Amino acid sequence: MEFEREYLETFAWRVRRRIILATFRAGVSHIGGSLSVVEVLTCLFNGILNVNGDNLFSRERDQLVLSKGHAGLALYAVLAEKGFLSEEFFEEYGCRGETLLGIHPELGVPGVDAATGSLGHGLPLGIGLALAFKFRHRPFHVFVLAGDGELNEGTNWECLPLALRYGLDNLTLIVDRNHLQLSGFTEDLHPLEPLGEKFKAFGWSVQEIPGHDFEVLWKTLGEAKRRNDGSPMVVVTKTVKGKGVVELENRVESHYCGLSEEIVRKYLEAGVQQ
Amino acid sequence: MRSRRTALQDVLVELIDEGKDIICVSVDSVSRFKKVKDRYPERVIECGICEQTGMGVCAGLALAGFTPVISGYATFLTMRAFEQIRTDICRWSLNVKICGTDTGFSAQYAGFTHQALEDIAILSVLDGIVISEPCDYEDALLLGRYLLGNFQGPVYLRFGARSGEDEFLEKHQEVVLGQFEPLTRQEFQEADVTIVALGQLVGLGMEAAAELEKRGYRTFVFNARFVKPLNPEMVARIARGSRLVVTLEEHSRVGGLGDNLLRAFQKMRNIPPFLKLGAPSNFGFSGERGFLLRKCGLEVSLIVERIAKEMENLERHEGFFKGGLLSRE
Repeated sequence: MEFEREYLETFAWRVRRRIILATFRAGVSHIGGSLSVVEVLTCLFNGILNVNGDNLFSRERDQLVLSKGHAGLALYAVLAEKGFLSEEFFEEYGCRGETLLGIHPELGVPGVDAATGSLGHGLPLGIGLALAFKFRHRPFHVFVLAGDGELNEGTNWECLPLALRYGLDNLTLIVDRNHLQLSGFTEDLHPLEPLGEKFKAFGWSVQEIPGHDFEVLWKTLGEAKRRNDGSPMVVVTKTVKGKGVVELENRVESHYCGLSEEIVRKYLEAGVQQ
Repeated sequence: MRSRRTALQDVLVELIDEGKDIICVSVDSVSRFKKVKDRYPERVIECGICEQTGMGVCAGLALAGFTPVISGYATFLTMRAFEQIRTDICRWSLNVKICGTDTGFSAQYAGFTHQALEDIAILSVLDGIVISEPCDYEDALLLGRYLLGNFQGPVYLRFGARSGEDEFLEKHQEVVLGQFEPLTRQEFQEADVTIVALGQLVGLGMEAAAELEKRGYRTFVFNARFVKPLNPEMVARIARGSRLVVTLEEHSRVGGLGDNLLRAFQKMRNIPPFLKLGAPSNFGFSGERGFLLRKCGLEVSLIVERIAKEMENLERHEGFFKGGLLSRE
């Protein structure tokens, strides 16, 4: 697919709209971390990943492990916008009965490649998938999307030498660097910086890019997928938690909260404004 | 020297020869896969001393259709990586095979950090996992072929020390999921004492049975093979046909084979007189294995005395009911 900024922007706006409406319907959601990954997921599902309506449940394609599983709503919104999830299915989010569409993605939802939610589990899973593709000489790529707060978990760091040793150039870790985690700013709680330098010291290729800029995202993620230099890569996307809803942006409370009717109305009426 | 651990290697090589999609995952524990590594070096992935990562990698490989086999110290695999076993593997019935070594007191002088006396208890709570321990080389071959080669789904197999293991039988019975293997005769028959021994304590069970026979107690011995699941018909037969059931395991008395069998009895509302023999605590001590077993009362003479005492008690009770209450009618 060619890069079409306007299409991506409209798609992202519609995804945000879904996130806002679903949050209002459910009363509360992990909205901050969902809004910060909208552009990344929009790019991935509109030309980077070779996923389509016919291969949703297949392993014979690129894989996405949403390691920050609490952003499940963002993934569901993208899948619904692509038409991979029916509208009825998407509306199950936040319903009071039993639902497959819980906060955290589970296997069985079309387009969900790995069940996630417990932090620090995604990268090992992604390495397993990437190794499997290497064994079978398959040309598919594995993207693991992790939160920056999630990097507190030691398993992520255990994985860095492992992916390097096996030359996993079919693996890309995307870190949603929004500087916030559940109870505060990452640098106050459990400092990560200099993050890029740390990954470099582990021998990984590192790209630190603005995470809401479609042109840069498209180029970087596309190149990440095409590379075959024998080394794993991390793309640190600098993002804003709660991006797109000013009242939530860069606020600790945005991790898990609801929206007032007033805010919802304001954003629905505003239309595409980026 | 043939041990259960050499059987694991032999069975893995055999299954890969047959074309099974097996990948061995080492957590700085590659000695468990030496023969595989010699013959199929690309089939062994080294994850370093990272049990959680190793378990997660297994889940990823299984999602992609491989049969990953991870092996290392039982205590670290089951405790440190429990969440990955629960959340990434068992919840999705992924075909991951976990082979814990150095179970029970096998780690000897390494002490309680390396001994695994609660691994079964920890994993028993997980739905769908199969928990099994072979008793010798041949048994490990059969269980390995079945559980690693045929059975689809998560499996925990217990293995002991590197060497110095007994071989009980030239030929074992075919493996049937959830079935204990009868050792005394081809099929279970009524007995005064039914001993269900797990893995590396089967030899002890057989020696104790011989002594008990001498004392006039008809004794039947099972090689448990499985802790979970347990075939309900078999469990019912044992409950009906035993005056006393004894479980024998190198594991804490809490949550092991004994408790799993007791739960099965309870489920069918028929609990026979029951004696659980095992370690009194999940915390072991540093020392030679035989010494540690004796300390727990897991020695032939001590086991025999314990069982004989239990039988005497039982007879007193039975006598009371038979000679007292019932004879009045």
